[in-house]
Amino acid sequence: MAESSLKSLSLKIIIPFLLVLLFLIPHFVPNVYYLRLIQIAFIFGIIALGLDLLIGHTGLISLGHAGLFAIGAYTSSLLALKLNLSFWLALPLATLATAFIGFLLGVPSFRLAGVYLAMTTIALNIIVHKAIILMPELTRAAEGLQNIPMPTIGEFKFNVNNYYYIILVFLIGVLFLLRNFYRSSWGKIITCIRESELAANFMGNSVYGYKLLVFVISAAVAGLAGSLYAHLMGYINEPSFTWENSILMLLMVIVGGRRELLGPIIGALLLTWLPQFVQRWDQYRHIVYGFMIIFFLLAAPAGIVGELHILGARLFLNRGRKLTEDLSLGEPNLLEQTLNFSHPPIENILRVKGVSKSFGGVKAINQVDLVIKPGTIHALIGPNGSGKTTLVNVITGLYKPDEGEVIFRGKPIVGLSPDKIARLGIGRTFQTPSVSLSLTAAENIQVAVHQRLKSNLLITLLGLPKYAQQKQKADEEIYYLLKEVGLEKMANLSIAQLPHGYLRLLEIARALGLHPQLLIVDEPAAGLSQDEIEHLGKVLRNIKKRGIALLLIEHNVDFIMALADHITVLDFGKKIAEGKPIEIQNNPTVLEAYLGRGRSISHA
Amino acid sequence: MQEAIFSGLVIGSIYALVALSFSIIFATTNIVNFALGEMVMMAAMVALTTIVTLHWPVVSGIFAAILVVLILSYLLQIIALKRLQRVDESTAFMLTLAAGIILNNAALLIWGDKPFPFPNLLGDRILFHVGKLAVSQQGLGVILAALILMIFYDWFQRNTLIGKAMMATALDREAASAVGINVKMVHTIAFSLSGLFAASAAFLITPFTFASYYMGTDIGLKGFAAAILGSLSRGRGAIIGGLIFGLAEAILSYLFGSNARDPLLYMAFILVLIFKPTGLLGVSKWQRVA
Repeated sequence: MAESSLKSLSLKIIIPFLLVLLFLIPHFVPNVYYLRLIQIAFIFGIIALGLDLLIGHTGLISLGHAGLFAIGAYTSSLLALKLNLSFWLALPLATLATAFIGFLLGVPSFRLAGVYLAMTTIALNIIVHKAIILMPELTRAAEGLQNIPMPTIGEFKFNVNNYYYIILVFLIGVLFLLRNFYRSSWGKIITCIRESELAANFMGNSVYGYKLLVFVISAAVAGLAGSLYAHLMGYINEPSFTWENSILMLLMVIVGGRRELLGPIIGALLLTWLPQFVQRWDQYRHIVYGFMIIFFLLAAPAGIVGELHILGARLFLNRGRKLTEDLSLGEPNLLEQTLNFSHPPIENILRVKGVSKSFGGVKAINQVDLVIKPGTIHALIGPNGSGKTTLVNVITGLYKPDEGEVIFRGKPIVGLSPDKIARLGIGRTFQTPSVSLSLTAAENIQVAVHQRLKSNLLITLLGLPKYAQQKQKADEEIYYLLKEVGLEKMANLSIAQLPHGYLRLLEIARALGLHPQLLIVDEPAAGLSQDEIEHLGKVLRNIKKRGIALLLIEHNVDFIMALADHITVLDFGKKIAEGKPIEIQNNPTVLEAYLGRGRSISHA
Repeated sequence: MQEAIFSGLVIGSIYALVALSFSIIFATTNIVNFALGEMVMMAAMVALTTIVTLHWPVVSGIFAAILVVLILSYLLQIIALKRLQRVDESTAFMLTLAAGIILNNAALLIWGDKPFPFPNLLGDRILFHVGKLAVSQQGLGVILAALILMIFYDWFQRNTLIGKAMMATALDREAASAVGINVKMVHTIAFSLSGLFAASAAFLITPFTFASYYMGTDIGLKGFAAAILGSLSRGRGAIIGGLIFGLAEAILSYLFGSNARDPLLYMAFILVLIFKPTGLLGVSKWQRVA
C-alpha cells in the first residue's frame, strides 16, 4: 500500500538524512548568535514536546510550564554554582526536583474538573516567579545568576558550538521516549482519558493516576529543558520565567500541531525565530499571538504539521477509498478455548442488599435487592426513569449508595473506585457507546487489557525487546476478543468508520478485555437492526457459556424473553417483581407498570 | 488589623463579583471564560475615556462601558461556544485565553501603559469610626453595591423563569433542551449577566486601584482562583470564595507586606485544594453517565 511504502521511505531515507543534516548544522552556521538561537529553539522544542503530552494527548492545560522551566534552570544553576556540582549531576537532579514539584502540584489538581490545572499551574508559575524576585540573596533577582558553567568531560570543556550536540541528543532522546509512549497502550489510555474519561475509568484505569503521571513526566521534561537552558546561556534572570512565557509555550504546541510528534518542535522553531525577524513590530507581537491561537484552533486545529499531513494524505493517499463496504459481521467464535476466563466457582457472583440512592430528595432507587448467579443472563427491566442505570452506576462504583451493600464474589465493594471494581472483574458497556473516536477498534480494546497486559513504563519508554514480546501477546488476545464478537476483520479500522451497531459489539469486546466475571450490558440492542440483534444474541449466549454472568438492561421485550434466565423489574426505584421470563410476562404488577391498568401485553 | 479586615471585605466583594461572573458562565456552559478579567479592564477603560476624557455624564459613560462589555461578551460567546458541540472544553478555554491576550494588548496600544486615576462615584466622606477604623462612604458603598448585585442574582436565579432555565441547563444541557429551553438563549443570557457583573466590578474597584491595561489580568486570575476555592458551579459558593480570598489577601498583605502577598496567597490556595479538593464549600457537580 502507498501508505506503508511512504513510511518505509521515511524510515530509510528521510530520517537518516535529517539526522545527518542536524548533525552538521554547527558547520553551516558559524555565527555564534544564530547557533545559540537554534539551541534555544531546540530547548523550547523539548519543553513543547512535554507540554504536548499534556495538552494535545491528555487534553489538560498547563499555563505554568515557564515556572517548571524556572525550577529546572535555577536548581541546576544553583547546584553548579553553590555546590560546584558537575553539569552531569546537576541536570538529572534538576529534572528530578522539577518532577517532584510537578507531583506535589498534581496531587490537588486532578481531583476535579480539568480546568483546575490551568489555575493551579498559573499559581505555581506566579509563586516561582515572585520567589525569584523576593529571594535576591539566592537568585540575584533581575540582575540574574551569572557564570553558570558549561559542562566538562575530564579536561574537555564544552562551548556554545559543541553544546549543540548535548541539546540535540536530549531532544532526540525525549522525542524517542515520547514516541514509544504514544505508540504503546499507555498512549491509548491517555487518548481514551482525553476523549472519554469515564470509559477509561470503567475499563480499570485510574484516571487520576494517569493524569498525575503524565503531568509529572511533562514537568520533568520542562525541568530538563530548564537545566539545558541555564548552562547554555550561562546567565538567567527572572523575566524569562513569567507566566506569559507559559502561554508562548502553549502557542508553540498549537501552532506546530497537537498530537503530531514533530509538531511542537516545529512550533518552537518558528516562534523562537520569527520574532527575531520582525523586531520592528514587537509591540504587536502579543496581539498576533492571540490571533494565532484563535486562527489555529478554529481554522487549522491540527497545526502546521498536522494540516500538512492531512493535505498530503488527501493528495497522495486514500483516493476514493471506500471504507465500510467490505465489512461484515463474522460468526462469533463458538467456545474456542483461546480466551480463558477460568475462575473458581462460587454460588453468587453479585449480591445487592437494600441499596438506596437519592438525588436531591428524589429516590432514584429504593431498597433494591438483587442476586446474580454465575453463568446466567439476568435481565433488569423497567420503564424509563425506573432506576436501572442508577443501580448499574452504584454497582460499578460511580455513585456511592446512601444505604445498602453490594457484595461481589463475597467481597463488599461499596466505596471502591470504578477502576478498582473493574479490575476485580465487573465489566460494563454504556447506553450511548463511549469509545475513543480517534483510536482503532483494537486500540480501544487495549484500554481494557492494559491493566493486565501492559509493559512497565521503563520497558515501554525505552522500547526494549521485551516490549515487543509483551505487545505481541496483548495483540493476540485483542484479536480473539474481537473475534468473540465477530469484529476481528475490523481491528485496524478507526472507530469513526464503524457503523453504530458495531460500536455496541466493540464495547462488549472491550469489557471482556477485563476478564470480567460479571458483564453489565446497558441497552445493547437499542438502535440495532434485526440482523444485528440476532448476532448480538449469539454473542451474549456465547459469553454466558464461558461462565460469565451477565446483567442485561434492555427494553426490547422479545430480546429479553429469548435470552434471560432471570428477570428483575424496577419501577420508580423499587423492585416490583422478580422471576423467570414466563412468570414476569404474566405478572399483573409488571403489566400495569408498563402499560397502565387493565391492559395485557398482547396489546402492546 | 481592623483596617486589613475592612479592606479585605472591600476587595473581597470585588473578587466575589468576578468569581460569580466565572461561575455563571461555567455552570451553564461548562467552560471557563478566561477573558473575564480583561472584560473588567475594558469596562474600566471605556468608562474612564467617556467620563474623564470626553466629559460624558457619568450615567452615559457607565452605559457605554456596559454596552462595550456586552458586545465583547457576545463576540466571545460566538467564538468560543459556536463550535462547542464538537470542540472540547479545553479548546474553548484556550480560545477565551487568546481573546484575553488580544484585549489586554489592544488596551496597551490604545491607552498606553500608565495607570489613570478614576473618579470616585460613591463619594469619599468618612461615615463613622469603628475603633481606629474609619469607614468611608466609598468602602462601605462597594460592599453594599456588590451585595445588592449578588442578592439580585440569587433572587433572579431562583425566582424567574429565565433563572430557572439557567439552573436546568446547568444540570443537564440535553434534558433542558428536550423540555423546550432555548439553550443558546440561556448561554447568551449567561454571558451577558457575567459581563454585566464584570463591568460592575470595574466601576467599584477602579477608584481604589486606578485604571490600567494590566488591571484585568490580576483581578481575573484572583476571581478565577476564588471561584475554584468556593465553587465554580454554584453562585453562592463562588461569592463566599471571593470574600474569603479578599480577606486572606488583605490579611497576608498586613502581616507580610504587599510584595510577599501574592505568592503566599497562591500557596495558600494550592494548600487548601490539597486538603479540600472540591473547594471550601464545594459540592461537586453530579456526574452523569450517558
